[in-house]
Amino acid sequence: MFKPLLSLQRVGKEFPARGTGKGLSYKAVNEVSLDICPGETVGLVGESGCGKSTLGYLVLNLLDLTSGEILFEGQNFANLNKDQQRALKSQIQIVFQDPQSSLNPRFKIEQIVEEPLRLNGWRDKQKRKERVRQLLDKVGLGEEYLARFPHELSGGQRQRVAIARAISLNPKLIVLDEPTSALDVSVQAQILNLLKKLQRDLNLAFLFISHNLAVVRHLSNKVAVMYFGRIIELADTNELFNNPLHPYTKVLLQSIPNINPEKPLLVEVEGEIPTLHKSPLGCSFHSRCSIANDLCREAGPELQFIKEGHWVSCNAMSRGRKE
Amino acid sequence: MAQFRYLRYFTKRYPLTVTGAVIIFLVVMVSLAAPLVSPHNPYTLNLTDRLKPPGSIYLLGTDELGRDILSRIIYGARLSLLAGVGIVGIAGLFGIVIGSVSGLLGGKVDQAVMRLMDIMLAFPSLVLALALSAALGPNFRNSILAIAIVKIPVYVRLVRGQALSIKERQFVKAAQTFGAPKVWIISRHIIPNCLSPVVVQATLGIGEAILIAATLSFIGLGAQPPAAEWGAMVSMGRIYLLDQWWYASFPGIAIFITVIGFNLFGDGVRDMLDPRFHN
Repeated sequence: MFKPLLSLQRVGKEFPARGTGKGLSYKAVNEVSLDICPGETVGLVGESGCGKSTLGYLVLNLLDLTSGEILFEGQNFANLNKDQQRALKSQIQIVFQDPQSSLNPRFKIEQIVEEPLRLNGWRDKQKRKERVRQLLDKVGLGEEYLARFPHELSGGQRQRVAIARAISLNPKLIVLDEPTSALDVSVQAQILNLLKKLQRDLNLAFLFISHNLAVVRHLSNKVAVMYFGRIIELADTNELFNNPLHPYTKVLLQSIPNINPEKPLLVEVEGEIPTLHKSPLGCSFHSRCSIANDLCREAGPELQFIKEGHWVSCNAMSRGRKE
Repeated sequence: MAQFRYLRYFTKRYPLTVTGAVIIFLVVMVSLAAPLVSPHNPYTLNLTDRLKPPGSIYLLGTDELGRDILSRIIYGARLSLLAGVGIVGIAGLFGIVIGSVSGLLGGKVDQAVMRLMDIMLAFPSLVLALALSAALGPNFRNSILAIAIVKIPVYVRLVRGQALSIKERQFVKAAQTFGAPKVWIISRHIIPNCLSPVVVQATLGIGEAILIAATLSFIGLGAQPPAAEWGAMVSMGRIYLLDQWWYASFPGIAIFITVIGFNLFGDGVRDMLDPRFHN
């Protein structure tokens, strides 16, 4: 396939655990490896607190890595000088979940969209203004919004402004951190279609972080399922939804509400999520897994290749193959 | 007409706030128009009219050098307003800058700054202002500076708390992704978004600042004679209190009314900016 645009290699992020004594830390992201190709959308799903957003921040270089490395077009951010880092930062942008909080309430829309331009060498006021108009036009907002404040806009319009700001520097990758979950369902579809259109026009790659499986399925080329800081299953979208292999992915997919009266309404994952500072031995999912055995309580599985476009991290897979 | 009706509604709903605003307005107007409204020159000595009781020529009487007390109170309003606004302005400005930098940088810088502020807050503000003012040399300008320095921690704490929460907001994260330098983040994102509590604090603080400035003058560490300063006037009049009660009383009443005006208005502003207040 193509050369990856972004390549995560055994990336890890630990936060020091305050108040629990010395030397302890939370592993928010653990040994994550993932490639994103130009123009591709990778969905990242998982429950609250599993490290999705932390991974997003790592990709944006807003947090420092604890281990592993992140390569963007083959370059490691940590090895670049300040100017190069700045240039690389402008290549990766983010759209946040809550447009209420991601737009400075004291800025007018024009100031919001031109902020990245001003900070990246667009000195000429006239050109900037022209560019801001173009950008707003691209996201479907007219000139009349230039002088308005964020609180005068609806949620969907605010998210459009956030998207305009994100594409202002012609980035190659945009991290979408649950961009639609704060919006009404009808508006969600508009925003998703806008994102799709922009992706086509500008050849953008998306890292799409979400817990809404239906939306992920609609937008993604491949999907990574995260649990407790690790990627436990990674597959092309159709493959993952039709043939989930990891027990966690299976319950996750069963939890999509359906209207088929034959099926049970919702499946609940039983058991508790392990606490972060007491990482259990073995597979992190074993305390809630229906098919866990003694091996799972002792040895954690690695992400392993099953077939083209499908990787899973589960002891049961290797068991199955040995038998 | 509509504005008038709104004003009437407002007066009925928040009588104390409006009272405060009216007092402040009157004090400001009087101090601006001091040369026009004062019946005598506040500095002219008139030794034949020493210590006259309030009467038709000297409405509030005269002091031991025959100066008209009413005129001196009117000119004194200028000094007191200048002290109040100056102190709060200087303290607020430094507080905003130090607090937002400290909050954004965090870590050891933040720790060091905040411990220093804790130490300053541990002293009673009057005592610290007294010591600083004495060290700088007793005059009106130095007393303002001393009180402003003492009041800085109040604003630092306030702004730092705001900065801590604002820096986690997503528009700051977004600014970081397109490479905004720290100076930009502080000046464009953090400071504009933490101003409203500072305004409330400042309005409430003016009254207290005027009081402390007058107190320093009373002790002799602020405005020096012959300045027409309320605190200094009370101080001079103190010795005549039993026989010439008007000398110390009227400047004291002026301080009282002005401070009350700012406090009432400040309370009102605080309530109005409190989101729970709207119903």
